Amino acid sequence: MTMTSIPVRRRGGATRESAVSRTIAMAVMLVATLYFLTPLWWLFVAATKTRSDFTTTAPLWFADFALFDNVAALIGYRDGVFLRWLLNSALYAGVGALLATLIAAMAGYAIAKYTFRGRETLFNVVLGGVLVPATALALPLFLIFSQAGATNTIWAVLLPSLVSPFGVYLSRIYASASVPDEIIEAARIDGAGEVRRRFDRRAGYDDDGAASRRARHVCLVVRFVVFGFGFPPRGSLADGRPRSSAGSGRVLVAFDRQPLRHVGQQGADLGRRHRVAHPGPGECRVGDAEPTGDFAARVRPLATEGHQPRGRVGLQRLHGIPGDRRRAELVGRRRQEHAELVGRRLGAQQLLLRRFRLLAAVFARLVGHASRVRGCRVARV
Amino acid sequence: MASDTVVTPSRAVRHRTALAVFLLPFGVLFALFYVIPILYAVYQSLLTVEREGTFGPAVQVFGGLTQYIAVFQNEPFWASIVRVLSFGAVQVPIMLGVALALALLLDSPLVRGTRFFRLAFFAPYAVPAVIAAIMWGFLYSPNLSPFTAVTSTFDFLSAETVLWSIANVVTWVYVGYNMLIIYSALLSIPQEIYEAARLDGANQLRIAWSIKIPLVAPALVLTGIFSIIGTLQLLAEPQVFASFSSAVTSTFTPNLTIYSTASVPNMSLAAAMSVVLAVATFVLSFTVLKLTQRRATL
Repeated sequence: MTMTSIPVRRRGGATRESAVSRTIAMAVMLVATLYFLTPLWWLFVAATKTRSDFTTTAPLWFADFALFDNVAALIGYRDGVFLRWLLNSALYAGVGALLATLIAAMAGYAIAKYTFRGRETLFNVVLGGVLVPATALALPLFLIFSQAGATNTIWAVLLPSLVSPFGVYLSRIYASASVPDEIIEAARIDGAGEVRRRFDRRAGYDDDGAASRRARHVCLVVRFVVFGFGFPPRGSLADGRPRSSAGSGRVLVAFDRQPLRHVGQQGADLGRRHRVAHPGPGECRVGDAEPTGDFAARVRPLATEGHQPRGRVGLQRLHGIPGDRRRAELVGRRRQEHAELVGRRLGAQQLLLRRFRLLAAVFARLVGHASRVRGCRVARV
Repeated sequence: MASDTVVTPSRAVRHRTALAVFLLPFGVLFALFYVIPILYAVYQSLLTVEREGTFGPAVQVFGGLTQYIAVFQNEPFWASIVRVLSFGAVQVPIMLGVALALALLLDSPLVRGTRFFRLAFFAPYAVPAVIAAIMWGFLYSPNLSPFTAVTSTFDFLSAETVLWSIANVVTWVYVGYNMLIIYSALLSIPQEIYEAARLDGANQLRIAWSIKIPLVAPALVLTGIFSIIGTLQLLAEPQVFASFSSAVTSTFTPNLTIYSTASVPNMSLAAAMSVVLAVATFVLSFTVLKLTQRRATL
């Protein structure tokens, strides 16, 4: 796969469209915008009005601007109980979401990537959990908590919210669609501990078989859809100057197992370091593959920093075949799989990740964290 | 469930600990806060209250399927199920149709400012269901609405119309959310396909119909299933609308029926209703899933 330059992605199709269809399309969009935003506008305007103005003045425009009085009254309501409520929400949403994501991701990953007796049964039971009406759970939960004397504590709300069967469902799909077994194998052989590796991988995705090409040197290469959580934007690694535009895109995250300098958080740092690290495009020769151009430039540093390859021995021991041949097989299979993924299954992992920005954010944090601990490089393609 | 696992020996033996670490947190919490409550609900649904004489103390005794018979004879409950089914039959296709149309427009080269539109359409999803319902309640009101010209002549809160007024609220909240899922699916279609289509002379409509829609079908199935589940479990919106409209009774939706039955309190009947609703939800979404899967493979 040659990628000499990254084409500007123009969504959709033709570049020239008739003025008529443009106008119609924009008209539809504007009508839809009115439908979605007018109620919110009304809500905001209503919040700025005094009680008497609310009923007597035009509903969609401001009267006496009393927003701050209203907010002050809200904060003053019952000695600031509203702030307490806000804090509660922040706690339940923040801590609850974070832990629920973590717990669900671990379980989903295990179901996707391990074979064990009762795996399908377990998954079906979990999936059945999605369908249980909230009211069906609320009552028995209340009774159980009241027997434990835990009603009216934060635990009664927080603990049940940590269980997200839907999250397990999502991360199972994501894990099986996007984390190739070869990568796990490679990481295993490189000696990463089972649990730790899983956190690496959570953030990760093999991009176009790139990892297979250099499985010897890199534990993981990762494709990761993020909405711009401080990752370097497209192109920043190629010319060493980070650009400010942060759109969505694919992010490569590569872990090697070197003690780390200062990798990972800021696009600027990242771009600069990579610029120093790779002498130029097109010089990457790893295995039998042919990465070229920008892509090769990004791959290069990982292959040159003197990481001791341990993969070959491990592969031989595991499979009884020479490492290189095994690797060539892996590359071939990966390519085929990728083609199928693109052709048929339509990037389920992208869909799901974009849908759950929070999930993405949490994983991005994990990547950031991992990068401080060990070697980790992030690149956007 | 985690540790007795041997299929691929080299793997399973070595990674038993890891498997346990991954599965245990969820397994324990799921058992505590899903399985046990559900079993408890099932157990409760098998109980019935008996009194000795007319004024004797109430005693809960095992009643077998008494409560389930009561559920099947409970006309308001079935009326509420029929109500949400008709709601879903109309609202879900409209919502997903609009979401699909907007996603296709966002994805087409016809529209400028996609970022703004994406945010604008998604914004309602950030409004909590209760707030959205209260807000629309005001917007529908004959006196306070900004659209009194309409609302004073047409009653949005009458017995015939209130269900569809609620449908509008649900649509308003969830179109953007579903649109985003479909739009993400559209973004993951490789550009080469469009290029090929253009070379073959396809116009935008043709590309949308023959390429985009078939390729985002899995996303449509996903959103469809979750819309069905959501519809059967409608609670917050009708509950709020009950304070605006006398047409919304305490048995308007199945969940509302369960809620009001539980606050009677008749826990056993409510538990039986919950079980029936869960089974119905399961059967319905499973059927849809199977039907669409079969079509997808053909």
